[in-house]
Amino acid sequence: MSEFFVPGTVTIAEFKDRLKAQFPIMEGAALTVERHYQDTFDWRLYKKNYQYYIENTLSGTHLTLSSLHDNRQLFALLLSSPPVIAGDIQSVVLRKRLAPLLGIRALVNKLSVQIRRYPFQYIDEDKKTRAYVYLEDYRLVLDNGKTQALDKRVRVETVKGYEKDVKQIYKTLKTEFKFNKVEQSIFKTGMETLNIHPGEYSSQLDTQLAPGARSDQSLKEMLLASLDIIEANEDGTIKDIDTEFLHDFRVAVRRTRSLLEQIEGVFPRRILEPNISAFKWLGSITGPTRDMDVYLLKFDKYQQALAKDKQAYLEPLHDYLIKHHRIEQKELVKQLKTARYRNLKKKWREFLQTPVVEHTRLPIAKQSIKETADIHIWKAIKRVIKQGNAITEKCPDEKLHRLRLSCKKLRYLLEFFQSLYPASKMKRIIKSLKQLQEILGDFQDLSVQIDSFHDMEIQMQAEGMMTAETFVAMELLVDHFHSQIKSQRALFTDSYSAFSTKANQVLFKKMFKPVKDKVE
Amino acid sequence: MITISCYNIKGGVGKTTTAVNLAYLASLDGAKVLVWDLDPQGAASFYFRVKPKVKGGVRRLFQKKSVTDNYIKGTDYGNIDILPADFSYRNMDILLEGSKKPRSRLRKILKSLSDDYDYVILDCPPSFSMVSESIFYASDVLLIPTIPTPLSLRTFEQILKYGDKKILGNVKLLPFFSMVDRRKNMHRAMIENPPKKGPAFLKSSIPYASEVERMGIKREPVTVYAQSSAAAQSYIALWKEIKSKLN
Repeated sequence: MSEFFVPGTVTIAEFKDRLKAQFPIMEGAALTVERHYQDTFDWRLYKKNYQYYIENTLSGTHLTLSSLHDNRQLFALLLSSPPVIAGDIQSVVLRKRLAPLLGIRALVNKLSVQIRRYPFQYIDEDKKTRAYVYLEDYRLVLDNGKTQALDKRVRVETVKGYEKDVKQIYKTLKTEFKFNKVEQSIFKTGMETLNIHPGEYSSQLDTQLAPGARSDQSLKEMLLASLDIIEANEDGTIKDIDTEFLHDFRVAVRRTRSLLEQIEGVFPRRILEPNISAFKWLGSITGPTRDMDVYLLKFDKYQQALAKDKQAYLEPLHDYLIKHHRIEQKELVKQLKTARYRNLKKKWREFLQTPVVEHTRLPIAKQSIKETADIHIWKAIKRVIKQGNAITEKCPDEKLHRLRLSCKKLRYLLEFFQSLYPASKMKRIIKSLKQLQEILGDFQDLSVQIDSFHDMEIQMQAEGMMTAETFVAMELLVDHFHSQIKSQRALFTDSYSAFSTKANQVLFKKMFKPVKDKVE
Repeated sequence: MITISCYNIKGGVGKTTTAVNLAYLASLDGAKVLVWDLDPQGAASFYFRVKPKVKGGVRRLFQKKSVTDNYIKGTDYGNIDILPADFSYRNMDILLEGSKKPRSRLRKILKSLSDDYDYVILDCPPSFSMVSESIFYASDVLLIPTIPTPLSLRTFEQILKYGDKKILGNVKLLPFFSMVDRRKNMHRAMIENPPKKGPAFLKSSIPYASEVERMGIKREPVTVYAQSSAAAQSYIALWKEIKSKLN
């Protein structure tokens, strides 16, 4: 697929006549279509150098995936309706291509253009179409619904196996029509015009901290970035576009709370305490919907864990989860529209944006952020190692849960302060901690699922949604969780050993042990 | 990728019209479809207005381990491509007989397309030969259009008789009645009492209709130019039933 600029002086009638004089052309009816360029909220397609658009016409949804780099079409398909998530795509071929790129994220509109299209088909003696030529007038759709002129282009679409014919058309457009080939896609042109910066959202905290900066100033910057993530995900959470909005929202909330709880002496208590409570509240109101999201995301795995003839028995559980997801989501939206939530954000932002004062009695406020980070990360590591070493084959599960929480706190600190340390070493440490967290997280999830499946069994019974077969299937799953818990505990030793190797402990000491401690 | 073959030992039973219409209906579901016109007569290629020509003929195609884009042509329907017929296909049997592992030849070639298509529909030549065996081995589903006449049913029985487990392998057999003329007592009687032996006939059947014959003039699937006709509606019902069997 190639595109050419059409000079403003060339009229449609003139182009048509000249094209018909050169090639056997069949003219189609002119039409206006809207093209929606889509990507995930966090630009997963763009980051992999793809552009993706859909056009809804009377014959269905035309979907095109092309290279962002050279505008080359990679895949095109006509669907009966536009897909939102990869799971919606019926075509296995397309799903295989898009699912690894999209993950569980939904496709959302990033940019829309209105196209006045004049279609022409280059046909042979059998009236077989060998190429499509489109004269297109593009207008950018603005937020207020109005449009703004972009380019007028000729787009030539190749039909597989007839590339020679297309080359002939290219040649004619260049030499006879004197049209220049366009390298930049309409998507890029449109984004430049609207000043959209693709790829700018990230759920990761990537604020660069200066090691010598004051702790209060640096923490305010980090917490502000975290608040930005919360607010960026608010709309998607309310609209329930995909489960990642709420997930990222909650991670940012937990990170904030964890930091406020761990680092004392930087902010006044009168600020700290109400905000710890406020973020705890935010965590609690978002929890039930997230639980339902998690169960629904795991539902296929639940079914797969059962014998084929029993898989259908779980359908009532799916209905129950959908029903309760709807209820919890409604409640969550209600809470996110309260004055309490609005004020929380407003006051928190006001505090974070207020410049730090020169003179303060707070003991840590003026300490360098590197020093503060060292102290807290070192403390958190020591706690993880102490708790980890105390885990034995027969120790109560509670000890593993406590270790999981300590690992989580350490992870947040490492992520908050990673810009203060060498990137490659931090990456290595976080990776090894992440592996340990995954084992501990799975262990915790299984324990939680055993309890919540029992609760759901009772609730489903009360709501008249339980059948004897479903009860049997759910109990089989609970047995399955129990057996998984055992194997998960067995995996702990290896992952903990990998995290707490001598080499790692030397590295932790070298990187994080505060200077004062080193002297001692 | 699911490979569906329209097959019968007998000619003129509606294999090609079935292949072309089902390909179109599958494409309407948002699937990417390849039609491989294996019949040297090239009727499917004709319906799609594609010249029945494969560069280098079947010999060169078989030398390759995969089908490259050089051989495939896009049709006028965005989701459907075709690997056209070629007159050299008449020698396919001789080539297969002389090759190593002739049975798995087509399957191997089709495997190279598994990331590109949801369905491959093979329009098969009317024969019972090494080509047929290779088709059986490559297919997930064998659609057998059968005219409700004694002679046609005899050929259906022959497929079952000669096509034992060794030859047919695990292919799912889906026979259905084709070119049904309900004015004829014999057609009606046979549909009401389909063969009891072998795989059950599908409930859907395709009527004998001038609309279908017009495909030769229109060079389009009947489901495109006469969507509300009885014939088109029968193909829609047939495709729906086939999909339910695939699931």
